[in-house]
Amino acid sequence: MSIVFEPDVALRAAALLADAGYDLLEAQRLPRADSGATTEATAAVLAAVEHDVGDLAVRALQEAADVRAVLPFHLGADDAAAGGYERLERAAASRP
Amino acid sequence: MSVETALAADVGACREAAWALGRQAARVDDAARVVAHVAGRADETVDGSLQGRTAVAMHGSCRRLGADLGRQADAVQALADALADHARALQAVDDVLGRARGSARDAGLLVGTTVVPPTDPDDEQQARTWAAVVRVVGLAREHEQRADRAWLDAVGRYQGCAPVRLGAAPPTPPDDAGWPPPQGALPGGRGPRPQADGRDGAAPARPPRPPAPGVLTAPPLPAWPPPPPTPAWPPAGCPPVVTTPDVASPAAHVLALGTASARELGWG
Repeated sequence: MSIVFEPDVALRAAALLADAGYDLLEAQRLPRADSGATTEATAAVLAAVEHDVGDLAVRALQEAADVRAVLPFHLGADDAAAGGYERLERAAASRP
Repeated sequence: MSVETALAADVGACREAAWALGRQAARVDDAARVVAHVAGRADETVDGSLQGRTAVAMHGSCRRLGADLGRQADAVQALADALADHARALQAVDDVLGRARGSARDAGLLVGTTVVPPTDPDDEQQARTWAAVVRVVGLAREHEQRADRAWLDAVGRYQGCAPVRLGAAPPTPPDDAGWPPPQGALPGGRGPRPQADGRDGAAPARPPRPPAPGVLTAPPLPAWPPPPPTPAWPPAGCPPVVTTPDVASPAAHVLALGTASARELGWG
C-alpha cells in the first residue's frame, strides 16, 4: 500500500475540512422574517436552507474525521496503513 | 367600507434575513474553496505508485462536497438577492401607504391606520381625498401581491417546486412614469425610513469564485465511487415554476404605479 498524503498534508487537510465544517455550522442559523402573506413560505425556505447547510457542514466534518482516522495508520507500518485506507475507502463509498 | 393602510410584513426583518442569507452564502462559498483546495492537494500528493482507490475516494469525495457547496452558495445567494428585492418592494409599498395615510389624516379621514369614508356629504375635499386614497391603496396592494408572487417564485426555485400560489396577477398599470411621487410634494407626507445600520437591504457582495485549485485541471478520475446521479431539473412530479412574465423586478412594479393616482392626491 502506498502513501496517499504526506502526514502534515493530511493533517492540514483534516484541519481545513474541520474548519470549513465548523464555519458552516456557525453560519447555519438564520433569522426568521415576517413577510406578510408569504411568512409561512419564507419560514419554510429559511428552514430548508438551514437544513441543507447543516448537512453540508456534517459532510465536511465527516471528511475531516475520515482523514484523521487514517493518520495513525499512516504513520505506522504499511499493513496497518492498508487497514486505515480501507476504512477511508469504505467511508467515502458509503456517503452519497 | 374602510381601507386598511398598514403593511402586514416586517420590512426590517425581511432585510435582516436577506442580509443573513447573503452572509451565509459567502461562508458556504468560502467552504467550497477550502474543500476544493483540499481536493487539489490530494491530487498533488498522490504517490506515483499508488494504485488509486484510496486517493480517488478522498479526491472524489472532496470534489463532490466542494461542488455541492458551490451549488448551495449560488442557490443561497440567489435567495438572498430575491429576499432583498422583496424587502425593497415592500418598503416602497409601505412608503406609498404611509403617504396615503398622511393625506387621509389631513382630510380627517384616518382612524388608527384605517381610512374611513367621509361623514360629511357636502365636503368635496374629503370626497376627493377618499376617492384618491382608495385608488392609491388599491394599487399599492396590487404591487404588494406582485412582490409576494415574485418572492414565492424565488422560494420555489430554491426548493425545486412552486410551493404556494397566490392567485391571478393583477393587471399591469398602463402608466409607469413618475411613481412614486417625489418626497415632500404632499404636506405632512412621510419621508423614507432611515436605516439605523446603514444597510439598504442588499445582500453583501460576493466576489466571483475563481476556478477551484486542482479541481478543474485535474485529470479525469475513474468512476469509483460512482458519482451520485444528477437530479433532473425540475424534478419529476413537481409542478413547474411559473414566473409571471411581468414580475422581473418587484421594485420596478412598485415604481410602475401610475402617475394619475399621484396627481389625484396632489403629489406630482
